[in-house]
Amino acid sequence: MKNDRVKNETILVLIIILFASSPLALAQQEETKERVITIEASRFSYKPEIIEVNEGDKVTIRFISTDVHHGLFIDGYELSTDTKPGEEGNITFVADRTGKFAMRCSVTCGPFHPYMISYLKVKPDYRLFTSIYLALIVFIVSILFVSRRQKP
Amino acid sequence: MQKKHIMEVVAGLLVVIATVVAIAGVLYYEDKLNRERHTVVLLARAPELGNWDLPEIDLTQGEPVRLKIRNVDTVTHGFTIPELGVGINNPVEIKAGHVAFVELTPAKEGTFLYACSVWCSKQHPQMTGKIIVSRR
Amino acid sequence: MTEKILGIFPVDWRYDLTSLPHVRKILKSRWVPFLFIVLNLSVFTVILMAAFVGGISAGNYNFGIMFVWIVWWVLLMLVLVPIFSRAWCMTCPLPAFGEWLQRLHFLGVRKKLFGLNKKWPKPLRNMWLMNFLFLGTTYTSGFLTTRPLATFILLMTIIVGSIVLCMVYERRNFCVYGCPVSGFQGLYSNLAVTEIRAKNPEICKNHKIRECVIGNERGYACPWMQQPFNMKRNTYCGMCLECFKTCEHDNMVINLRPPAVDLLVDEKRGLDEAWKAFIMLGIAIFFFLIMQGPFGTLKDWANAKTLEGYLTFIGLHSTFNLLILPGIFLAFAFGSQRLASREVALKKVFTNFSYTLVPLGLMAWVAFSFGILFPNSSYVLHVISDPFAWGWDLLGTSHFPWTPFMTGIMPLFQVGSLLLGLVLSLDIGFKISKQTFQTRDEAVAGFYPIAAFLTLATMFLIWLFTG
Repeated sequence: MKNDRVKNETILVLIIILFASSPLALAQQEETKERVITIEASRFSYKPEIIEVNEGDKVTIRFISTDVHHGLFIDGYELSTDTKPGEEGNITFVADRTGKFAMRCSVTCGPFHPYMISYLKVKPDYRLFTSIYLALIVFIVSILFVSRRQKP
Repeated sequence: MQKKHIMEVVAGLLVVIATVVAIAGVLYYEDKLNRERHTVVLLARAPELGNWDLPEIDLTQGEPVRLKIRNVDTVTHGFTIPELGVGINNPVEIKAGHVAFVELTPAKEGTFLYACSVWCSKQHPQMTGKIIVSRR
Repeated sequence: MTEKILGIFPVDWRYDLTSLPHVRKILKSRWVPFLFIVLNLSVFTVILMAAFVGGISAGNYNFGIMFVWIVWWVLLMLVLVPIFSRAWCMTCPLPAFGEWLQRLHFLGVRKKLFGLNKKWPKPLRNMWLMNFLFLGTTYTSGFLTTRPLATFILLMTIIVGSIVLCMVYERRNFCVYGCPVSGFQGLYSNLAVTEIRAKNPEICKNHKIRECVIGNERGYACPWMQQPFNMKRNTYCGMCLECFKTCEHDNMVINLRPPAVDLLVDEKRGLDEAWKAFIMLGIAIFFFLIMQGPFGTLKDWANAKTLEGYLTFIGLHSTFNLLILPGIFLAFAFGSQRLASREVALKKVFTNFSYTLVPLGLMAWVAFSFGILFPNSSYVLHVISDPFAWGWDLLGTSHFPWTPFMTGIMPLFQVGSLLLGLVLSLDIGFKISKQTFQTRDEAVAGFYPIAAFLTLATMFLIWLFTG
């Protein structure tokens, strides 16, 4: 009896969490904007370290370097540019893919070059919400599965 | 017992081939490549890491030479000999960890400056050396 | 009713791979694994030479760095350990010199081993030394993975160190208790779908002279100091195949089996292995933050730009792995004990459930490996054509440009791996709960907090890697 009650209460709590968090996933779409973002490269990171834009935004990246020859390659979009000190690289694109994308340096610039990464986040991150929900569903299914009454 | 000894010797030979012979073979092959054409190996490094390893390169007028420029640094370097026209119309860029070959037959004698042609460090302007071409 | 892994694979299903034609004959030959070791040795010669010649040049264009930290490490995580258990140990060339010196032979069998043949100190007959050695090695990862000379020094240290240890201690004590990689392989090989075991236990029961343990003219006493006839887990079996040669009843086999079954074997579970599980998971998190994250400060710390930064990194890294993560898990283990049954010692609950971190931990490393493979594996094409940066072009690929591929779907691979890890961890978790507690009701209640921890950890990892 006690186990049944604990089980039912737990399931109720979980369902409440599930519904309470769904508005986050269906976040209001913001107006798409035109953005110009300046990314400054220096060994071995970018400034800003994380850029956030909205789905549909038209993004122009002005890419400058403060020390040596650096590059910028955007995962997923597979766009790239490079720049030397005193020059300016440029990428213009429409952020039509959502999620987090790593932006990597594409010109060897020093020992930590392979780790020179910044993030582009295009909101809303449907993939992230879906993945987290999937993990939650796995959890709920496993709880329900072990909690069911065994046939005598 | 003979068979066991033969097997042991074969096994030992395999180990030697995998190690010593492999190393010797690699070194021999590289040496052969350098001797096929008159090759001068030049290491490209930023000034703070040692600069060019040959501050002076001695060449003979009229004699073809192959410069093998190895970038042992972690940034892109370049190579140019402005007075001999090297790296002017066709920029010579050597990415980190890469090697560039420059074929050169110096036509006139004298002392010429060579330099890195890609901004690579705060001390980039100091990344220079001399090419000394003497008469035959 | 037989338990099933993921409801599909019966826990005691085994398929004897040595029943396939020729396999047994090959495994019983003294040329195996010697030939594999020599082949590996030739690759390592190139690795060592390239790493030495490479000095402080660009690691991503160095054969040594690429083949150790990209090719080998990724292969180990994705293929070698999950499928072939400790097969890397079978072919590892690093202790080979030490072992050949002990045996004074490459192939043949000798009665007594050369060297002092001391027994390994009893207090160190566990994973603790390897836990600290591995953790210590990760302090230098910033250098190991980017400066060829650092990789050279590490490999030479292991080679020389293993020769010394082989001359002082008996057999493969270095491999069993000292090698940093051995700890990881030992614990994670419990997941593998292959194993070496005695086929028919009845034969072993009646066979009093345990040749697999003491050796004979056909082969050496088990170099890993195990009892082949009696092995229940993959943890300490280095797959050296000596027992295949010594067993006069031909009773040793390599089995195909369901994944993770060793995690259910309630034998020799200990805090040393529990901490190994925490350390591996914690390191995956920290390495991701430093190497695949956007935080310049963390990278400067790992690159020792300043001494304070480097010490901060070491401090945080160690504290998280040794104290914080286990501490968090302890809280959930405590919850499990409270909900289920206080009659079971907290230490037992904690230790047993720590094994549920193994599937998730491996999948965290698999996800991390995808993060290396998709963007950076193209460098391998360059280094195989110009291994020493001498301007060679052996295979015509030395000018192959850096080419990331499939970076758009890479996060899907990562999420997929992590979810698979969660499912397997939950499955193992409930089975372990039934072993830990007396009644099924207790097992169910005790499982809830552990399931919560595993799910929260997975959500965290999903967010970390892809969000």
